[in-house]
Amino acid sequence: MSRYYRATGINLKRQPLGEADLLLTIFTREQGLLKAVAKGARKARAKMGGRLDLFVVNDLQLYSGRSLDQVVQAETLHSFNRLSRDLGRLGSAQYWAEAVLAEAVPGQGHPELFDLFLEHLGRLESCATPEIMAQLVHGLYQFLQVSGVAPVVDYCTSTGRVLSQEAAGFSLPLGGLVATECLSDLTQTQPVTQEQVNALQWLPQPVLPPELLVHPIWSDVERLLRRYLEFYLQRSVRSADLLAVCLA
Amino acid sequence: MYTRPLARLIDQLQRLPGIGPKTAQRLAFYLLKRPKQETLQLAQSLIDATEQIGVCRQCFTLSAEDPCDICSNPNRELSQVCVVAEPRDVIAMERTREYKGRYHVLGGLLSPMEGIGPEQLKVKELVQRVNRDEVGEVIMAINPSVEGETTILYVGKLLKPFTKVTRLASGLPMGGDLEYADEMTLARALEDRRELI
Repeated sequence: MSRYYRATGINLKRQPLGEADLLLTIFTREQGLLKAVAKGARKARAKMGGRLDLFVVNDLQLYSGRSLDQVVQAETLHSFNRLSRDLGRLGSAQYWAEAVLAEAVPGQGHPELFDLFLEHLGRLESCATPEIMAQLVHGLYQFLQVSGVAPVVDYCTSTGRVLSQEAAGFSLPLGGLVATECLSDLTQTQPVTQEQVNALQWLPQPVLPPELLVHPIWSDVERLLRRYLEFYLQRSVRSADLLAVCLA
Repeated sequence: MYTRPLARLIDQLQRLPGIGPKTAQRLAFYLLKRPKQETLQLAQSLIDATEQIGVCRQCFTLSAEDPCDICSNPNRELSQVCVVAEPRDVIAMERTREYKGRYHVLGGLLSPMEGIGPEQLKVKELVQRVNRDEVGEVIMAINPSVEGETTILYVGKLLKPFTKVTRLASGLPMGGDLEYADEMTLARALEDRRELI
């Protein structure tokens, strides 16, 4: 059986290895997360140098090694060049990458998450600067949704009652919104304003309405989703700490 | 299996980057085979380097003197500061013999995913230095990777109100072949093209 195989993947992490090699964490459409070595990729004249940067989508030829796979060839399908011209876009993309790295599984393809990630990177690349925060939050929710772990935003997770644009609470252990009357009975729950509920209820939609794209509410919603994500992952989202710096 | 001092030597060598157990064993046996004087000289060099090399308090490069040779050289231009990520980048820039200004070593790159923020790097010190020394130009000599771009954009944003900030051009390497250049490098080279003089 041939030890060569092909995969379409986006680079999500790169670490120096040895004298001039790179250890890459690639999110592939077919096989989920995989780690592979790119020999000599850090040399100035390396053929694959630019192709192995973060957020570059490649058609990869890999060789299955004894301990680690090796990138043999990389043909770029798409590179999100405009991301690297804006600190807010770069910071947001790295925030998403951290969330996707937490959701994707080695050896198990997740084409829906892969396609959605690429679609949202494209939106992040082309959106206007003031819309970055809205796109970031929307993308983050959509990734959680396609992975089956998004917080419930349309009904009370405690009673099942449908919530329609009203002040409510957000319960971390129950994983979503709870009606105001349930707030006193629950721990690790915080009140959420009517405006925040409204914004949260837009997130499952494939696109956000244009009038909501530039709105200060998204910073609050991001903090809420981040707390939820951190509760779910049981660790902090490190890229989020720098978000204020990136979007300032 | 090994006599105790030899096992300790192999264990220490194994901790070096890129050295596995087999290479460590080979190096240890090689060192023990060399004339005793040579091996002791190597050991003394390690001790001297560890004890004498510190960090220059102006530019944060590794140096046996403080300030370092570059910072204390009066012939170096005070108005130009080249910002690099690591001390080894200073050596790479010096090899060009083209740059006559001074340096500032950040000590790494901003990496949100790894949790490396501006407070872990010498960014605050750079801003203070630029204001104190009335620096006319800051040259960002940083790797063109995502972490590098994040660092360039962040530092540029902080420094732009005080001084001119430039970055190294990126494009095709000398002697490189256009056919084998990747799309990103070619696109950047095309974007930053310049008129023939």
